[in-house]
Amino acid sequence: MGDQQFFLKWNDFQTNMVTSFRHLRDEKSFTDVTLACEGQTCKAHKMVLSACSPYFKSLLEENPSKHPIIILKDVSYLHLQAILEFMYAGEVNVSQEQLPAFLKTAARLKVKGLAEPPPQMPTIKREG
Amino acid sequence: MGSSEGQQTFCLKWNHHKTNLVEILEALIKVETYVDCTLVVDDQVTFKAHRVVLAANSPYFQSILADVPMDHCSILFPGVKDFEMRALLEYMYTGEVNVTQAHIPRIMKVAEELEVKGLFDMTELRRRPGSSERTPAASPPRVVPAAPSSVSPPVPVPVPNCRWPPPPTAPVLSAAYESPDMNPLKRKKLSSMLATRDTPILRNVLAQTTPVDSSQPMSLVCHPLNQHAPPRLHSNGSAHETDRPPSPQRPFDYRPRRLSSRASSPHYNRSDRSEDAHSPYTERSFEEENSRNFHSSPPPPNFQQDVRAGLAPYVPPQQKPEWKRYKQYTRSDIMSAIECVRNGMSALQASRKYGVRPMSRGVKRESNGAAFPYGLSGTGGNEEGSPTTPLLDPSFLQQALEGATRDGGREALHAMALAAAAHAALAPRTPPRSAPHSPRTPPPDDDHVEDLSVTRRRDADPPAGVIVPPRNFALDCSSERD
Repeated sequence: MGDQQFFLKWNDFQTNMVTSFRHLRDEKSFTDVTLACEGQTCKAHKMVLSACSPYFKSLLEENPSKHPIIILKDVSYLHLQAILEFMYAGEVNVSQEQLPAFLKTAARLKVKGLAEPPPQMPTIKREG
Repeated sequence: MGSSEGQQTFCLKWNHHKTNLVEILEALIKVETYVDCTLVVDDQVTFKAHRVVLAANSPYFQSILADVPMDHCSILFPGVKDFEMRALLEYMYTGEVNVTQAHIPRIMKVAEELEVKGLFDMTELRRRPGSSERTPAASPPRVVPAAPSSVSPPVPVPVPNCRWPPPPTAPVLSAAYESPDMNPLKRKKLSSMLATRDTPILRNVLAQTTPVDSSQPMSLVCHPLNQHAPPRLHSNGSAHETDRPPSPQRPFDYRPRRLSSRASSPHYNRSDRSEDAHSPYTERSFEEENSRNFHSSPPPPNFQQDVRAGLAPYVPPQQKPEWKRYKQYTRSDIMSAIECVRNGMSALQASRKYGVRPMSRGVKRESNGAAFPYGLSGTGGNEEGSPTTPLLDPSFLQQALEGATRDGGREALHAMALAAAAHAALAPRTPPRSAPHSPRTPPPDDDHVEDLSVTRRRDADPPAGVIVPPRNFALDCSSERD
């Protein structure tokens, strides 16, 4: 019986992870990186950025710092917020007029799911 | 005085503070000392910097760094080239940078992004309220007495005899005084310059008149002395004293000894008070004068009080004696002395030759005696016993001043000093002007003041450097005089 393995699975794991990260971000708990653009800043978690963007991953790997500040050039704060929202929640609402610029920015930042020729394009739904 | 003194505040200003600060920061960054952040641009090029400097030069950095508590933080600038950051850092640390024309657009773009002051339109700051409101770094510690106006007595412009119109208002003087760059020397010069046209002297006199003034802050001196005391100090070198029969009191003396001597006279008491303040640093710097002038405009409440309390009572008796003292020489003597001085004779020599006391001395005595009831005053009065007739009239003074302006040289100043001394002597006699202030400090004070102011100017030239601590100043003066 010693070698018998049990498979434990929490079916809400992903959901929990998403909500938890989101919560942490909202509370700015354990944030360890500051993103700045257009004179405004927002805090995030390196782990999430690295997980969602090879761009940030390499950037953060190259600059090991306890709490780096990343000043993004030519990035709209609005888009940055949307991108972070997408990273943390996997979804975000963007106005149609902003969409091209948003996708362009996302491409620059190599946000997985938005930039890379995705295995599966994110679905763009129209709301309201 | 006592109460006011304690409350008096002094502004100590180092005129080179800003420069020094900037230079130090620049030096520190060169050796990367105390740097607390690393700027990383493309190609992993890193720059070390001080967050303070970044924040000081950019509201953007200020807001970003505000909530970054880390000991040492890295700031990543993906997309920024090293030359851009290098140029901006140099600009932020030194206020200038040389760049090639080709780089300007890119640098300006980054500068705009980072809101580097001077390179970026400040109007954009609107977003971050409060970020832009940094106060300029340095405020100068000038020695200006902070509270002069309040303190200063309502300077009664008691001097009817004075030629010069009562000081209009402090503005001119004060302005000069306040100007950050004014060092004592400059001030002196300025005051002398003003004298011709304005009434700095008068002002001083007036201001000084009130013993109360002591409250006024002196530049370096920590303790406000009575005005009397300080002025004299400058004017009279200790050396002079020695020459003359020592009038017991030099009010100013820094030297403790003198103080002791005067105690006897009634005035003395009063003087003591003032002295307390001085004693350590009796000397007043030029600034004091200025400050007085400054004060003069607004009559300090204290002043009156002081006068009443200490001075008023005493004054009446003493005044006469003092006046008398002055008169030992005649007007013609003074004129002759002035001429000699103009012709190159030293003031001291001239004074000896014609029996006119050197202004400095005169000042001392005067100050000691009547004007300021320092301990000395009592004795002084006695010595001189007979009041001399006033040698000079205002017109005479004016002439002297005019002469001074023409020559513009030291001699002129000497002459002025002499004239002032003479004038001072006269002043006492003049019927007491209607002085709003109670017993009004005896006219002599006014005189003294004038003398003092004049003297000081004179002195000022020689001891240019003396700005600093009163003690030093005293030393300088004494040496010079000797």
